[in-house]
Amino acid sequence: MDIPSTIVTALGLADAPPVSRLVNTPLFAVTMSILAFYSGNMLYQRLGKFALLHPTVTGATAVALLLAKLEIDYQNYLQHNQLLMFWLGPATVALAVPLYQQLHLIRRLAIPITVTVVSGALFAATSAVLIAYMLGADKITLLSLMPKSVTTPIAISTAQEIGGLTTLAAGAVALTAVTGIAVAPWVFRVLGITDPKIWGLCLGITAHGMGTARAFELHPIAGTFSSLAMCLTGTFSAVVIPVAVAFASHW
Amino acid sequence: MPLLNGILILLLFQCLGEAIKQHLHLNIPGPVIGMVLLFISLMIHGQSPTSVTKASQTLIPLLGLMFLPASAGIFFLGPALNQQWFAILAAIVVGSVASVFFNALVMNKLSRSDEQ
Repeated sequence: MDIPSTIVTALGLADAPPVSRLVNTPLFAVTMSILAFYSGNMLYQRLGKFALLHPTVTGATAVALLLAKLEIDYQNYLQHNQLLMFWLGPATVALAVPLYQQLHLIRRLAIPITVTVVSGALFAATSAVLIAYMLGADKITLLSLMPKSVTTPIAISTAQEIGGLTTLAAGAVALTAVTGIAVAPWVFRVLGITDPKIWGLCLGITAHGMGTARAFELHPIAGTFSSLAMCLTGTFSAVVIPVAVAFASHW
Repeated sequence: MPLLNGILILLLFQCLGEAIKQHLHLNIPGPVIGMVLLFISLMIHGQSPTSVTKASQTLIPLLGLMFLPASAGIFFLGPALNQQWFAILAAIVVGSVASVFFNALVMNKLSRSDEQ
């Protein structure tokens, strides 16, 4: 059958068969994310909350496999999830509420919190850079790894400022968070730490937003301390990393 | 509609945070500034309104889902990794495990000496 080419274009029939058009829509991308998270969460609850099977980890793996199978471009999928990621903004603002509710605890522990955050932020950046340097990574890679323990928006702008690769920086941030939430409960058990305040600080300093999401699942106080640690680490690193790099390049 | 009211308040604080960021050319994300402003407002107000508490309790448990699309990106790093993938992977994984240990030990020591 012959259809005039103007109608073909107007109806959007030209480029692809119907199925592949559906998989390239925000509807499909968001449904896929929620379905992956939902299934991951079912598995997680069923298997006794085993840390390595956190729904963000298994869900992201399932999404990656599906993208490869359906031949969807990852950047497209990410773009189409803007609807979902939009809520990260108001959710971040919302962290003020638990922070306010635990104000008395935070006030009492102001000095230990500050010391832990400052030393922890410095440790996270230097340990990663040292290990990568010893294993022969080049300068751009080292600069991209520096903000790995910082929440993604700050990490990306920091990496840009000091001359790292933003894609690598964003990936490093995500992998750090996944590693952090997977190993943290094990570390706490090994060290015999049962204080949710310490759980929260560790997760917030190392694994920023994702660590905070995890901390809220462990305990409300852990979540509060994680939000606090995430904000302090992000702000501290955003100021200190560019200054440290500028200073180091003088030598 | 307490949930809608609460979400509106959160969005307004985020807008305020973005406006301040743009105006002062800050390197800190707008939502983080918005959170600090909301925190200060709650301290001045003396309590968290039901609507804001409700919106906060709805959004925070979903943080893990909101991070999922970006997390899937670690499987698509290919070109950025080139020949240094081992150094990068080792730095991130070993560095992060060491970081959790380090932070736990520091805070454990400090909070214990604090109690004495």
